[in-house]
Amino acid sequence: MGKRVLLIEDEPNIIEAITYILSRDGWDVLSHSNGEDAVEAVAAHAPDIVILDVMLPGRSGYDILGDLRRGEATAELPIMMLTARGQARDREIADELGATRFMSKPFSNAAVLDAIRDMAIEA
Amino acid sequence: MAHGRSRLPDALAVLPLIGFLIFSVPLIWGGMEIGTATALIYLFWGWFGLCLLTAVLSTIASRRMRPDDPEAGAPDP
Amino acid sequence: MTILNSLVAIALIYVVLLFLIAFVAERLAVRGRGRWLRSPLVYTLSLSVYCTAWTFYGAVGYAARSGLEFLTIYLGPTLVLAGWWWGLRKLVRIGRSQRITSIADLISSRFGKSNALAVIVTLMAVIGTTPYIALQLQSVTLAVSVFTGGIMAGADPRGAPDAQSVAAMVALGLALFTILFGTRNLDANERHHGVVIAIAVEAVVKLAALIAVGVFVVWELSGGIGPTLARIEASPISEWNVSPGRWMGLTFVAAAAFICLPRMFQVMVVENADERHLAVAGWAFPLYMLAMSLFVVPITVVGLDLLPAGANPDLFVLTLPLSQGRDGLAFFAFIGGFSAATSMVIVAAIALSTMVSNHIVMPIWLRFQGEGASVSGDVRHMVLLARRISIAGVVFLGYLYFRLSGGGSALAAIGLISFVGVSQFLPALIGGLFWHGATRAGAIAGLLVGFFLWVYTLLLPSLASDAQFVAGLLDQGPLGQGWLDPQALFGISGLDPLVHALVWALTLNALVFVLVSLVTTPDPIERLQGAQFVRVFDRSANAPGWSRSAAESEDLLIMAQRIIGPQEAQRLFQAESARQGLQGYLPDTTPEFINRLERELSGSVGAATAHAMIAQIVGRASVSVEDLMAVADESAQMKEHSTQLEAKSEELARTARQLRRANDKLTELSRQKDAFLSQISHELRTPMTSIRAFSEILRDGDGDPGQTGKFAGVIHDESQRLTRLLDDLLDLSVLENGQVTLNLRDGRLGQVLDHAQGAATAMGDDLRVRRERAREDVALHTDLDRLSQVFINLIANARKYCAAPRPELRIDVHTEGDAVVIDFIDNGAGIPADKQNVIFEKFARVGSDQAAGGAGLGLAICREIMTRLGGSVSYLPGQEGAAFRVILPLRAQMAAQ
Repeated sequence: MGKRVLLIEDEPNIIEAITYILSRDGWDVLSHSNGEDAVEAVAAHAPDIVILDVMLPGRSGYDILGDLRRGEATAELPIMMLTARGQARDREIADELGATRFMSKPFSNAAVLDAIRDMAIEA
Repeated sequence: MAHGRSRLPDALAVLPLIGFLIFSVPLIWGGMEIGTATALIYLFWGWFGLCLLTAVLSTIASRRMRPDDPEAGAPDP
Repeated sequence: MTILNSLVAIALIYVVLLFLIAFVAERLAVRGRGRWLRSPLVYTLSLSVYCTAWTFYGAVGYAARSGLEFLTIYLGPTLVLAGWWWGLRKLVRIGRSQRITSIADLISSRFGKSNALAVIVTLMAVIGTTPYIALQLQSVTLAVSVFTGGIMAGADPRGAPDAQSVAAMVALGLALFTILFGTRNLDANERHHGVVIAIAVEAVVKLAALIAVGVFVVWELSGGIGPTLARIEASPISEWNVSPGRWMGLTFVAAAAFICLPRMFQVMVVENADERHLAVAGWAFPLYMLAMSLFVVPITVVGLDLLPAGANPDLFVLTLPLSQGRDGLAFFAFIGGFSAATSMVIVAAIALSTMVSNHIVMPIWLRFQGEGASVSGDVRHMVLLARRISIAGVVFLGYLYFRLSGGGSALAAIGLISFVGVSQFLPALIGGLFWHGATRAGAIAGLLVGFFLWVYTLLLPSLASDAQFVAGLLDQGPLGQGWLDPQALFGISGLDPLVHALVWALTLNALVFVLVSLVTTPDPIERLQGAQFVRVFDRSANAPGWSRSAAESEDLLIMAQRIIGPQEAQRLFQAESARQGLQGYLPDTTPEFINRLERELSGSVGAATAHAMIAQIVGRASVSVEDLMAVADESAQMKEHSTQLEAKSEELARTARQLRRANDKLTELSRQKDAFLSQISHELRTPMTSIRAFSEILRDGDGDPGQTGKFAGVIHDESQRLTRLLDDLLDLSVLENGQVTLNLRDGRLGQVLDHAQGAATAMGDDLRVRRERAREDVALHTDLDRLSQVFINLIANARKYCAAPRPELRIDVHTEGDAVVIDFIDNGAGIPADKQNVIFEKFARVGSDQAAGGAGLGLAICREIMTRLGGSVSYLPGQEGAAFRVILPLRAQMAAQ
């Protein structure tokens, strides 16, 4: 049983792609597709790593990130932000809010895999 | 002309007073020997005269009432 | 029995004829071809509801008992009409400008829109009018009994076995007619064309009938004018012995009643279409009354001469021709009396039902309804229902009174008693119209005192023969206090009972009204209303009552729709938007607009109720110091100056409003421009992410062989999504640049909707679509494919965004002129007011909704298409959910390209 990754993302096809890539590498992947109760989902599943999309229905990924960083249990949790907007400004915001990694869509599968592996080691 | 115009409302306002006087005349007949037929003829002629007078003054007045006055008439939009 | 049957048949044919006339008039009015329905002549004739059966039959009886005194009933109104310039004109002007619905509404509106006052006036009017309606029913039954039972019948109308059923039938028919034609339109100011024209016809019939009998009596029975005059001289009523007190008093009472009677107020003020009609009615109606009374004395004298001693003079108009074997003429006279009775009941029922429903039923109903904006259901249906029930109630009350009262003479006296009763409104009315200082407290106190004294000194004694208690009261005074004798207050006896009651009630009424007004101060709204009434001819006396408030325009629209109907309300709001230089249906809620809206609403439910309903949404009306200053300021020069300033500042305000809106929109657009890049990036990158990820998996060849087909499928779908997005962008750009060619074809709206519904719900049928296919049968000449594209978009939007548990879309079609209007209304949460402006912009979406899979271009494309087709699509606020209105010309103009 590998480490647990929680993927918070609303596009079904992207969920399927990332799940496929990571599970093949031995990760245990859970997904959640709503922004509103994402913080609760993190608390419930207690993942080792979180992949968080910025544009989610119900709530922005940045807000969720902020909440998680303020939470005691999740202050140090490795979180990778994903965004399709791809502007420099988005990366800055993610850094300020304390994202561990930042990745813009579209990404190469190898880059995602590398980033997750790195985060698992750093943690 | 402007002078005459300003007099018209006054003339119209006096009409009911004239009517009141016409219709009050029979009251002073109390003791006199005046029969119903005479009274009838007097009242109806007086009444008719008042109608005529009102008709004349009102027709002049209504011509002067502004036809474009939105409050006065003209079907609602 | 056969004669009864032919009477019933004649009356029935006559009533059917009236129905037809009223119906045709309504039809013409709807089609806008009824201008002549509103001529001065029709107005004048409609005033003849003043001449009821009481005057048609009763004038002769009156003359037989008291000689020429009956003339006072007509002379009073003649004086009022001769003075139309300074009295009635003001009343009618106020009635029109304040959208007054009844006399109760007028008094209530003048004294600060007080509902308490309206209720008092309404109750007094009902008490004063019910016996009068009973009197009309009695006159019909009496007339019938003469035909069936012979000339000497009619002493006791209830003796005839058919009397009850005749009265019941008449009451039922009248209630039906009144409900049918009196409650077609809700807005009392929309006027009842059918009723008014029917009343005018009845006016002609009753006059013709009376003159026919008169001509018969003078030229056939008496042999000309000279012999007739001689006969008068020789008759028992030859002597002139009119008491001056009664002569003056009755003239005055008749004049007062002419203004204050609810039915007269209805035809004279509420139904008035043009102030200038008064200039004709001012002399023409006195002439009508003159003609009505011309032959009264000859008929009386000849009747007393020829008919047996015990014959009821109240029925000479019928019995005289009958006794001479002139049955045809008698039938005609019967129809004349029937006309007089029915027209009174119809108009009185309309007037009273308006008061009862506006001032008693609606306020009670609203109290149980809670907050204004959340008023549930259609208020219009409630108001109409209340009015219909009130009409039935009023007529039934009259019938009940007829059955329970002693009949005969007790009822005959009620005409004048009723006149004295309603004339108690006079002090409040005149004071309200001409005196700034009149206050609500004064009006209430005066009315109550006058009403009490009227009941005590006139109504109770009139019932004396029926009640032991009253008889005792008349003999010894209450508790043996002789000075409280109802017919000799403070021991002042010897006066005629009617004059006695009139003098006491009206004098004390007026005195209390003035005294209480002097010691009380009016509240600000009263003061403003007072200024608007007293100075109605000053154009600038347009006092605002509402402070600028944060009232939601949409809440007001929702309420207005429920009261005056969606189309009327939308037209009103759109016109106001245009006046403010804005687009759409939601104008700024300026005090002027709220005032105008309140006045429109009061045309339907009365001033007090309209004020209360608006107050629930806007909050309490507050009056600023400036408003009061404006009222206090009497200087004409200042007014002139301030009018100019007002016009200028209004123009400035309008420009500022336009600039503010433009600026808001620019800011919003610029923000959207920034968002645009980010959005388009997002829309393109999302499908590309899936494509890249899965194509890498396939390229590396390390995919599960069983899943390669599935992965290829995802890549295919996502590349199609990309293509769709690019297509939409290109489509929009083509449309915006006007390079599109339209493919105009003939088709039917229903088919286009069928096609669109099929295409939009192909992916799932969780959305229930409600349509009324009969109304969709509209021939179109337009680009059917483009139109279908718009419909698909709107239906798909409802499917995607309507969040109701059981999503439902209503497609409502109606034609307006040469355009067809198609409303798409769902039952979801709707779109918040601040977003309604931007939803038609590119990439504008409400909330974040990638789940819906659209790029936010759909509505922008729809709007462009509709512009090309010469129509429009807009958001329709104030419906139960999100609502879009598509307006399409039936034939697309080629020039629109």
